[in-house]
Parts: sequence; C-alpha cells; structure tokens
Amino acid sequence: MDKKRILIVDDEPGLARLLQANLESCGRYETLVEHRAESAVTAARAFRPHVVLLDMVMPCLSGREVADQLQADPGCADVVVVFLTAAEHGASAAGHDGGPAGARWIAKPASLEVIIRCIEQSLSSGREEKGGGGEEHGGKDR
Amino acid sequence: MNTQVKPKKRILVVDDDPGIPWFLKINLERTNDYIVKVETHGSEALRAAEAFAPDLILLDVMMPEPDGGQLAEMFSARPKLKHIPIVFLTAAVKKDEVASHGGRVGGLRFIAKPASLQEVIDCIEAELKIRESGAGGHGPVA
Repeated sequence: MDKKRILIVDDEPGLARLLQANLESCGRYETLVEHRAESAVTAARAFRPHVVLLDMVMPCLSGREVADQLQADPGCADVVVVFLTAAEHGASAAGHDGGPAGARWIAKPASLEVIIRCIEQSLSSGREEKGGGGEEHGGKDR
Repeated sequence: MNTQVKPKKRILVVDDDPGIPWFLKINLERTNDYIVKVETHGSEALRAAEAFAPDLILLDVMMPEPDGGQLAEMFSARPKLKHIPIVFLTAAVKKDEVASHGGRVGGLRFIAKPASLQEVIDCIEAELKIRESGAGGHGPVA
C-alpha cells in the first residue's frame, strides 16, 4: 500500500517533529514538516501531500490564510486541510469552539489516535468530495 | 484469576516547549498505565516533583535556567527525590548514538527527540524495571 503523504505546517518545531516521528512510526504515512507558514504552499507544491495538518496560529500568516493560498493554487487545490487549533490545556474540547466553521480541525493537544482517525476520515471524505470542506470533524480526546 | 489492578505509574514531564509534554501526557495516559503531570517551567520542577511524587521524571535537557542538567543535580540533592529515575529528553543526541549505547550516554538514560510514543514507553518501562530490581538511583550528573 502506498504511504499517504502528510504535510505538517506548524511553527512549533518540537511538536511538529514529535508528530512527524509518531505518524511515521505507524508505517502508513510519509511526512514533511514545514515550520514557516509563508513556505507552506511551496512545500505543498513539491511534496504533493494528501493531507495538510495546518496550525491555525502562526507568525506572518495564519493557518486560514495558508489554507486560502492552497485553495487558490491549481497544484494544491485538491489537498485536504485539517486545522490544528490550540485548546486550553487540559480543558474539555467537547464543543467546537476554536475551530474554523465548516472545516476539519483537531484541538491540540490531541491523542495520536484522534489525529490518525481524523487523517483517515479526511482522506476518505476527500476522495469522495474531491476537496470539499464541509464536515466538522472536531475535537481532541473525548 | 488475579484481578488485582496494577497501580498507574506517576510520570513527571518537565519541558519548556509546551506542545511536547502535553502530547506525551495525553498519549501516555490513554494507555491507562500512567498518570502524567506536566511542568513547563524548570524553576517550578522541584516543587512539582515534591508534590507529585513521581515514579519517573522525563526531563528536557535544553531549557532556560535551570536546565535539565542543573535540575537533575537539584533532584539528586533532595533526599525525597534522589532515588527517582530520570530520563533525559534531548534533541542534542542522535537516535543512533543513544541506541548504540543501550539508551545510556555517560551513565544517564537519554531519549533522542523526536521520539515515537513507543520509544518513550519502552524507555520508561526499562528504567522502572531497573528501579524495581533495586539497581536504581541517579547516575552521574553531567
């Protein structure tokens, strides 16, 4: 089975690399980390990810702005974006606060299981919808 | 049939990069084998350790003062804490370097960042096993 390519765009290098190590340890994903939001589209054009895990809050450009740039780029328009949003540490993320409306998102910190489930669901709905957003995935560990 | 529930092991994670300890907390606690306390301020780590009474401390090396090495010395100087095994988390040591020394460098147990969850769990369990066998305590502090 071909590994799915996951681009992680997050300005927190420690967390991004930890996520990369853990996703790659599953054996199902090939990952690339980009710490600079302004380089995300270039990285996506070169890496051709199936899914972009995109931090919402970054210096220079927000995750939302990066998502707009990806959407506007003919080479990246089909990429499925999953936003990573910061939830209050230790607080319940049962609601959908903090995530952009109409988008797939994961509240940080999330368990690896939640992240993988969200990636897999995004991949299957991405195949069906070909890039249509719509479904709120939402939530960290419940 | 032995229905005795194994007590959860108490792990204190000290790391100033908040994404990392919170990711570890959520994922370690999901195994139901651990209770994890996060401390992102090195200056609070002594107090946190005394209050939490961990079975093991995961300690980032590179932090603003006190750094991991200084903290390990402080733990060693406290009668209540000196027997608690410490595993250093560091990006300064390469994975193969650590692996080729059986997880130890200079007598100290290291995990090279970024590490998969399984690597962290294996290391915690190996270190706790050593302690249970009575060969524990802190090694020399670098």
